[in-house]
Amino acid sequence: MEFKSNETIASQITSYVKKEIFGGRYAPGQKILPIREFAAFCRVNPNTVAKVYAQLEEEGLIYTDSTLGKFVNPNPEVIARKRRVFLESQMKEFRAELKKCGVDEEEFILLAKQSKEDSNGKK
Amino acid sequence: MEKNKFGGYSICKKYGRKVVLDGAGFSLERSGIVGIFGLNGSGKTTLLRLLCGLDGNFQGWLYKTDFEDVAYMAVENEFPIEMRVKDCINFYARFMPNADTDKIFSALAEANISTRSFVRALSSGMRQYFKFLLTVHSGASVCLFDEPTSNLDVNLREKIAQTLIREMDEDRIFIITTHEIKEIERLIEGFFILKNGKLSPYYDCEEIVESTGKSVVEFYKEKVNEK
Repeated sequence: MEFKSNETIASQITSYVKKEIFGGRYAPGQKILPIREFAAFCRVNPNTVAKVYAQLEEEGLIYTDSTLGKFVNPNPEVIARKRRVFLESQMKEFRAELKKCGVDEEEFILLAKQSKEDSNGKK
Repeated sequence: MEKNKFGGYSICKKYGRKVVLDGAGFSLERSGIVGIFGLNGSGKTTLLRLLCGLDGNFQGWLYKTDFEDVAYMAVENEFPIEMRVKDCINFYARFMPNADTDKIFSALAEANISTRSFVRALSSGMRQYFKFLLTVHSGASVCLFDEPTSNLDVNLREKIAQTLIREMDEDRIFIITTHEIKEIERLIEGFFILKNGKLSPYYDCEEIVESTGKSVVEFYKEKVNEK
């Protein structure tokens, strides 16, 4: 896993796991890697992963079964709702950035369409 | 070891007239992987040797430490080169009764290092990895690693990182000295900088990145070059 050095490792891992969950690669109710395994996978300190899991648990995205380990929240509706909130906040940030370049509503939609066509065109 | 502090304070050490440590001090109360960073010649090795009881000739105080519960990976080769690897392990286990020799044997096998070879037949990188394995699997609550990854190839570096992650647990302290911070930046929780014979306050990696927006390496470079 690649990390940016000027952002905390914990926040980068948090957003990685969120994207895995929202993207459906970690399905609702699926077991996720134990702290140590995941730390070894990311090559980071296990305490950092423990912190990330604690935060995700607080947000209700994962839960801990005291004997079986950590799991993604089994309720797809909750995941969908949280995904929506996450996407909206990402979008807000993104639009704020573009707005700095003078992109207005109209151009924004145009850009969104064009960039989609471009990526389709490449395929 | 009980849950007491590890470290010391007002530590001074001279070699002849040369002052190496000049009132250095730190304490660690909880478990974790911690770095001690400093330029070459800043006294990192000297400090570690005091902390594990190898060198008692200094001024200052250490918190009560059971030296048998501290393992130390030195930079230089500690073993007679005419000894076989397996004899070294058995010898080591006599001093470190909690050492997990099975783990040492299996890790060596995995790295294709024969335990029947003589130490002299091992490359310097293999010797270094061997020393690392003895230290990390020593069963000691405090493990001091002096430049564990310098001069190693990518595979052994990766093995060391993975082993540190797997062997870390809530009642062990791993202290790593290095001047190649990039290598262990993501493994450590925090660090001290050793400079002009003194130790900086403890810096928490996540706090540094969050509050300064700089990477640990950038932060260190600034601090170490500050007048």
